[in-house]
Amino acid sequence: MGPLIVQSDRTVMLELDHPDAEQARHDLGAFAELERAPEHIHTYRITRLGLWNAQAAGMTCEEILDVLHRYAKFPVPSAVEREIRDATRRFGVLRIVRHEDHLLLTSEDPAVLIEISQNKKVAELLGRRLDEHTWEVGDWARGQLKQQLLRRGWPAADEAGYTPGEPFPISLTEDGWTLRPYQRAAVDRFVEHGSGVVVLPCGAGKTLVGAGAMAAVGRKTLILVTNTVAARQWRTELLARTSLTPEDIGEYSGEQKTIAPVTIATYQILTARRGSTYRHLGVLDAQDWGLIVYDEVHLLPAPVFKLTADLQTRLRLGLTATLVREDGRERDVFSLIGPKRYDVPWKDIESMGYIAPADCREIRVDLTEKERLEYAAMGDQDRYRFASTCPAKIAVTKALLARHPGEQILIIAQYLDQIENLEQSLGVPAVTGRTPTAEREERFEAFRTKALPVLIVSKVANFSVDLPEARIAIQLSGAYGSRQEEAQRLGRILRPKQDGGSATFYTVVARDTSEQDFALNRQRFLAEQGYGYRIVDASELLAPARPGN
Amino acid sequence: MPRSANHSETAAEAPLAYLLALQHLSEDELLGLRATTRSTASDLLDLADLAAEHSQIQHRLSTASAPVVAALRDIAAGTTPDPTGLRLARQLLLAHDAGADGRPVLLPGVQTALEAEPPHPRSKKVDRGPVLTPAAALVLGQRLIVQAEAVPLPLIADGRLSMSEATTLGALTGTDPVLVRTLTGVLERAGLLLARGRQLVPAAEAHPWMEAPAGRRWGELCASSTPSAPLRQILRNWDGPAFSDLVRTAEETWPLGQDWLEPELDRLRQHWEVLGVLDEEAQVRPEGHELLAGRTPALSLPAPSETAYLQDDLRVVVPGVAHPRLAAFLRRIATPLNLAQAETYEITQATMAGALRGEATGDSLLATLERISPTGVPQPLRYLVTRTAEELRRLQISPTGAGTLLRCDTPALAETLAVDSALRRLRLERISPNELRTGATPDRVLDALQEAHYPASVALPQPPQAGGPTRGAGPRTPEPHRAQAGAAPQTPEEPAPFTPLRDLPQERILDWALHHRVAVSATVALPGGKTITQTLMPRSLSHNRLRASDPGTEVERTLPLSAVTSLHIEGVSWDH
Repeated sequence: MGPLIVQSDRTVMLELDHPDAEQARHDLGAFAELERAPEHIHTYRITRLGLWNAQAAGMTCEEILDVLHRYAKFPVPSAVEREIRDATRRFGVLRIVRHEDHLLLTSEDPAVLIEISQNKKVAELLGRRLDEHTWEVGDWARGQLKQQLLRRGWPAADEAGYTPGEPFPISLTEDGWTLRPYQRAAVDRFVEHGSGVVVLPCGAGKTLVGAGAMAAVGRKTLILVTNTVAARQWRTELLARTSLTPEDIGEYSGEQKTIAPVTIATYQILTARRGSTYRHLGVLDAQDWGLIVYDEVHLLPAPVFKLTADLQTRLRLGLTATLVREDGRERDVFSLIGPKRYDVPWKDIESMGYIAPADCREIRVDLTEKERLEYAAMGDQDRYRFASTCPAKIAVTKALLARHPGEQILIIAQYLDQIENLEQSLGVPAVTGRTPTAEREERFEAFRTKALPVLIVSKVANFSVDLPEARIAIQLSGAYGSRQEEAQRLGRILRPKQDGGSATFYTVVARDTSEQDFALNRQRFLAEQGYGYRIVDASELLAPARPGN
Repeated sequence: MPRSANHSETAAEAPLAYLLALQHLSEDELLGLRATTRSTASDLLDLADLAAEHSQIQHRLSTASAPVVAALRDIAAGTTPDPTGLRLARQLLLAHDAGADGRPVLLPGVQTALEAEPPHPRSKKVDRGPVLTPAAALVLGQRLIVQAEAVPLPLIADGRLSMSEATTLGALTGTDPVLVRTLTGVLERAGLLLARGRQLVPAAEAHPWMEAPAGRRWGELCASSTPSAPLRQILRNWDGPAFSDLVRTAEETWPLGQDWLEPELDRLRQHWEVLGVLDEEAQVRPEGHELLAGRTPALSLPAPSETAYLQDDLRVVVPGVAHPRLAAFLRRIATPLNLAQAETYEITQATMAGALRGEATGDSLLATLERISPTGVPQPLRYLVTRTAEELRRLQISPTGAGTLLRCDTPALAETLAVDSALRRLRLERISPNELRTGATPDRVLDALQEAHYPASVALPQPPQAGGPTRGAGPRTPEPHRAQAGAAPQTPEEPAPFTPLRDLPQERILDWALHHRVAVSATVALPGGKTITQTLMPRSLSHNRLRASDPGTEVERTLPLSAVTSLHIEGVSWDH
């Protein structure tokens, strides 16, 4: 009996205690998505998207079924086998190929072409019908066509190749450092299989994967990032780790408009409009890009999907810590960037020592009687904020700071008035969206150099901010049950520490409120990543220490 | 008229009068007249009963074609003294004889009439529906029983499981809802589920059944659907493999019988599909062959699991099928998310509150959790148990004549409840510093309190009844059980002594006898005004029919309740 339990709903459970678990996990991960990974049982899900990803990487239906049968504890449900066969037979039925200068949609099965061409949204993207097996497709429509075909259950194998782009040699300057094994594996997989997404936990070094890909490709590169701070961090990292010089790297953002062989542009600038015109789309054609890197691709704004759909002829690399999008548009990432090429669970990287182990704790505070009355009388829409910003959290924060003297601590909150209160109560500076960029960078730098041990941050620091020495995070409020935000915030403290110690992530929650309900959702996500957590009453934390302790 | 003891089975015998006469005989009398097996005698009596059912006769008469009726009239003129239309209808049913090999054959006159008839339309193509394997059927059966124990299964007016419930259970178990519905019917016919009004609950036999060897369990389920005597005769001589062959044989054997044969064959096919006698290609599986040969197949199922993984995310995972005791416990404390090849449950504050109601502390619950988990109890779960147990002590509700009383441990809590906007719909009224009342039912109050983060305990003035106000918060949480995990389901309450038993409905009496495995002496009315008194051991009761067996011989019969005129249990007289 193997370690996998294949269920009728296409989830697959993996028993970690089984001697074959490791090998099974490796084989299963090629076509199934890891949904949750708590301590004893990991759950994967077989989706059509995952199957097509695997086929895009060269796996066959029989190989997929063989993995399931080989490791299954109980017989594989026949319905699951049928669904896998049905899904996999659809891949490759439609192909996008290049013939001379034309892009063609082709199929051996005319019936499928008829079916999909009768769909209005697909029809708009097709050019001339050349014969019963072939339609012409404009280059501009390549990405959108793949997107629409995927939505209709007919994923197209994109065999049209890439526009190579202008050569621009880049090399990694590995003096005293080298790519980690998983980073190298991610780069190799990308280079071997083409456009796609690499999923690595926060703090695992996705930027270096991007740098490694750039070096392997050796072409002019456009890097799309979430904000200006992130752009500058990329620049710093590229200058430190590659052969690029400052003149080779341009920033295209709200503050600068420099185009260079390697240009880092923000998503916001791409989507900036005057009236109905996107004013800065020209950056997409400013150079003959050979590689487009999408940083934090899970945050790709919806309009950017459409705008960058036209970049289909360029090699594309998406980098992210999680493919979970709260808007459910993972499929669009697949069709517009490419399939998932590489991922590795957080806990695996932790066990390799490349991210710090983390201890997660939820501190439950009580509302006072007066606050409880006030909360009870409120409407639903006000309750969450009221609970999230209850004054009792300040005392808890002070107690936690006292528990961790000398540590680098980030205090994270959602609400500006709460942050202002904290600044005053704790005498600690903050970085919010209102903080000018220069001042932000100054405070981040002070924190990095330990000149500033404690820093309060708003959601601006959720992502793309490198604060490697942050060891403690105290989360006082957040965006409802956002799993993405939870992952990003935890990621802030996962950089390996110089002393090899672990990080601690505190979430302070008002008991028996809607905040507690949302916190459960966030914590469930952490538990699913393998991060167990403990619940502690604030009263325990605030109790005077007993003599002798 | 009873046949003489020297009567022999030849085609020259007059079968009509013979079969008509059978209605007046008991099994023992019939066995005394002719050498045959008791099961054959039983079959013959069933066939005679079938003929006697007035409604069926009328229907069949109305569908008989003219040439057939004419041919039968000719036969009738020579063989029976009863000239009425009823006689003709009986002849329509009884237009067969036992051939030399025991298989029914058409009487020559009828055969001739049929040959002159246009061909009967072929029975419709047997559509292949979803099927289970024998092992999957047993697992699903167990799960349905455990589910019914936690939350009775709702029935619709025709006595079947509601389709919405079947769909919900189907999604939970990864099974086609049609199969869920069909298997629920099988479990009921097998006496493992019992209809109480519009709900199905486990019968007393359910737990012993779940502990029995797999082959025996499966055999009992397969035996629960008894085809009619004519079809049973065909089955005795058929061993597969294709169900379509059975259909063809049945149609050839009973060409006049399509109106009753088709639904019977459909029922049989559904029964066999859900139990895994047939595979997806409607071929008999090896286990089915064993069954048809009268043997108990050796089914091997993985041993049910008695442990579960307790996870930090408050989910519980059983890596396989949970032992019924474990499943019952998990249903108390958690909501099932998935009951397919493995089982996943989710614990919430609401489910924990439901489980803890009535328990003094969470210690006993924690002890059980420790026992079932090979990896200990995660801290968030331990915290949840302890904390919820404390919170339950703060607020108590109890039913009053006109609604519900809420008793708080502090005036502050009472004041908070009174102003809580989430509880506005309860229209709480403060009646003392620590008490409030509402006209809402305890169930509604419990749900509203739980949703608003006020878990409450319940104080009741009398023992809880099934489906009553002691149910846990939320529509799907299990009944609170005061017994330890794994206790057998409680037996239904016995009729109170000195109750005027003649006032009890017959069904109630039989239900009681069924659960207490007590034989009843039943007087049964026969057509023609005669009655017989038989000792019967009730096996199941549904759709106004009693399935019972002779305690001495285990031969089973099915009787309409309307035919039972009197019931007697040792020591009690219950004239109806």
